Amino acid sequence: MVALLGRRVIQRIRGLLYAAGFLYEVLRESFLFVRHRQVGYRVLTMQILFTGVEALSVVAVLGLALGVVIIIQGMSLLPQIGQGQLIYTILITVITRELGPILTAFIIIARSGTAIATELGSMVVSHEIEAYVAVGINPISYLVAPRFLGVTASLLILNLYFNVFGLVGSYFVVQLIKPVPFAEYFRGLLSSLQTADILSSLVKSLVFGVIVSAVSTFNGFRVESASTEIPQVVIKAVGQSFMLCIVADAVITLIYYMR
Amino acid sequence: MKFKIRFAEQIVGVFVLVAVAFLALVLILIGINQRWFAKDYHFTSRFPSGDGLSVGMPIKFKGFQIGAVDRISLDENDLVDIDFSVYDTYIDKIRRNSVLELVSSPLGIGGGLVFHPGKDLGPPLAESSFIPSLNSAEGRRLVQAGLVDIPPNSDAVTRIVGEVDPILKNVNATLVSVHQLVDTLNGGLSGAADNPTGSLIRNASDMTAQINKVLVDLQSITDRLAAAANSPNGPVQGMLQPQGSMEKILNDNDALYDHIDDTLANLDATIKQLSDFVTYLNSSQPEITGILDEGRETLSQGKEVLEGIRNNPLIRGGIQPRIEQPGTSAGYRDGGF
Amino acid sequence: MEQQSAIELQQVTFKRSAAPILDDVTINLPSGKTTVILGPSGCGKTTLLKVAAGLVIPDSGRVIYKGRNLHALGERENILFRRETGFVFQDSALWSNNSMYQNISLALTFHDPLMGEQEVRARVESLVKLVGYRESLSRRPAEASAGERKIVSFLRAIALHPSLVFMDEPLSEIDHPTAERMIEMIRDQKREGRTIVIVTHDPVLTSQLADNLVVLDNGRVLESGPFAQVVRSTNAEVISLLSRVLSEASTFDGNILDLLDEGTHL
Repeated sequence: MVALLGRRVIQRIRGLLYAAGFLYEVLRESFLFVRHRQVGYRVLTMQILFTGVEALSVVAVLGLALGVVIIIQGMSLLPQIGQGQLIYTILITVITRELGPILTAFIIIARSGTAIATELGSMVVSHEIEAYVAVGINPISYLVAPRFLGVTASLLILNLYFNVFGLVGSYFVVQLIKPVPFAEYFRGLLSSLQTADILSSLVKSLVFGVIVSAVSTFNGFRVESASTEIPQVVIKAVGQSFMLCIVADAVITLIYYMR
Repeated sequence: MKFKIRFAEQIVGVFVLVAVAFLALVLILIGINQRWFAKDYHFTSRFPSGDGLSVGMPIKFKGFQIGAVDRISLDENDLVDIDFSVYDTYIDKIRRNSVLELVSSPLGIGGGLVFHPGKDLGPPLAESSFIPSLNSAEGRRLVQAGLVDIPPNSDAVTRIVGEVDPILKNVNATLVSVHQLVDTLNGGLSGAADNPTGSLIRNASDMTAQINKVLVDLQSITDRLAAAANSPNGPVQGMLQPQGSMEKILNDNDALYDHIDDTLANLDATIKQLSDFVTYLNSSQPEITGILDEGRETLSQGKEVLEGIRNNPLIRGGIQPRIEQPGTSAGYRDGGF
Repeated sequence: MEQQSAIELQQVTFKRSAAPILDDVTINLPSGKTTVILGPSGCGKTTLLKVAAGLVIPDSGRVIYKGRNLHALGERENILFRRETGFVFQDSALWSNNSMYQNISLALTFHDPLMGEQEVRARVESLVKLVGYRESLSRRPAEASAGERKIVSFLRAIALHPSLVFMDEPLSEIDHPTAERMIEMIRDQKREGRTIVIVTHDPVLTSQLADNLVVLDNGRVLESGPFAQVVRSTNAEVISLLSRVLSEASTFDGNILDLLDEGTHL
């Protein structure tokens, strides 16, 4: 009984070390990728296209809708307690600092996290990964690094677009319902926006990008031989990504408030 | 190949560039809006408490933000020092005799620092000058002296509260004073207090006791005199016999009578003087007048007796009717309190 | 006669779950020769091949290449090693997201990044011409037949003209004409002095091309050595296995005994 527990713990630790080693490899190869600009350059472009550009419509709609809702709710409620000026702080806190990074991360987990895990898993099953090794191509540098960089870059950029649509786009939509003077709105927004907000938002996106890509690729490679393992690893990838992103979000928010 | 795939690089390029451009634009706008490159002027102020103060809190003048709080600290005198900066566009408002007011919203949220410039139209204050807060002694002095330009509060609730507050304060002070006054009077009336009224009343009651004693003595003397005057074998009657000493006294051609009369007249004058003296004293000690009145009364009776003796119909004359002289002051027991 | 070995396996053991797939295997793969690994299904032939090719890391034992342990090679040395080897997978294992052309050219562009696009194209086309593959190279593997995939997989393996070629069941899943073509291609490689290691059931391939034989059963090497020697083995197991394996194959002509007796060598 104790031996079983001990074995489990050792297994767990080994698993974590393995994962840590994997992450290290990924980071190293990504760094080298940027420096060497090998064959994977086209792969990187395609990755950003699929992960970033194709998710833009979802992100835009989400950002717009959220922004509009916040503005309308805020502008109905806040002036009643004489705090109309708080709407800008609320917008910045909700869209820039909190929902921007985490919602775009969720969108990317759902779209690209699943796709990457599935793709890599099926490549393992069909021995394509082995074929890469046989030719001498390091699968981490050729497959994982561009995905890692592509997903992280896409997340960063999508976060920015989320802010564009959430802060700016929603303004134009609200004009149809409850007009606010342009200068007043943007001045209010710019006064509430601190560089720390922007930094926190970008750092979050970066961390989430690393998490999503690393977890998806790691789980994809864990397939061994049967294609029935593929959905299992995808589920694991999604679950782990969600959890790690939320934990990272909490940690970064804490750091932001302790500064 | 699909359009998207064929122009993948261009699409991705545009995608990335627009996002980066947006970010750059926002950073620039923040820089302008939050005045990273503009000069701020720094000043200090002091408040009795840090409640309602926070770093970064805006300082407003007529609804415009002219600066913000940079630092808040507690000094050795347990007062709160704040360092704040004012934007260069508004530096000319920071004149001499300006004050800073901490406005708190009744709901507990919001509120802020409001700047009231001095009416002095001179040059702006030098950087790092001290600007007093409205509630400090200096601030109040400036306001009362009319050196600060303070507009009425625009927020209705704050205004009403602002006006009610001093009224309540005044009423409170008045009630406290009245209460003190009543306490004093009560104390005074009961004679327990140490103030003049109390001692006055205490002395008055002492004096009344003494006067009563004197009057009793006088009364007994008068009684004895009267008895002496009326008893046929008493000294008075004896004196009134034609062969008695009285006859002799009275028949000396009024010499003794004149002598006594003179004495009485002198006594009267003296008493009158005393009475005048007492009139002077009367403004503060009306009871002495009363006592003296009684004394005079008694002496008048004595005088009457002697006059009666002189004007005894057995001898000659009669008692002249006495003219009642009114007291020079109201008896102390007459007036009500 | 001690032949210089291209790859040498020393006491290699590989386990997955309880039963060992390779149990204390020690063999020598001589350079410039064609070695055929024979054995019943599931005996660990593919694993042995992959261990020899450095694709699978054994649990214990060493794989020696040019005097060095294959798994102790640094990254650069590893890439050089890979440049010298080609592997043909049993299921082709072509990269499904790339075209046939890209499958072949990727190795070229990876190892020679400075090679211009024209040159790459020229080389690919010469390879294609070599085997007489006339189908379109812009198709994806999924769009091609199994045989075509096998051929492209072979082309991919030899694109860099490696000195070591590993083949896992090269004639499986393909029709007769394509199989013949394949045998020709392998013979060409052999003619060029390459070291070839083949895992196969096919008796024709074995008899026509094998210089050396390795007989494997249940993860253990029963016999290994030159073809003529192994074929005349007195080991009962070897004999029964040989007959069993060679009779399992669906394509062979001629008498079994003929094959066992003399074997047509090149």
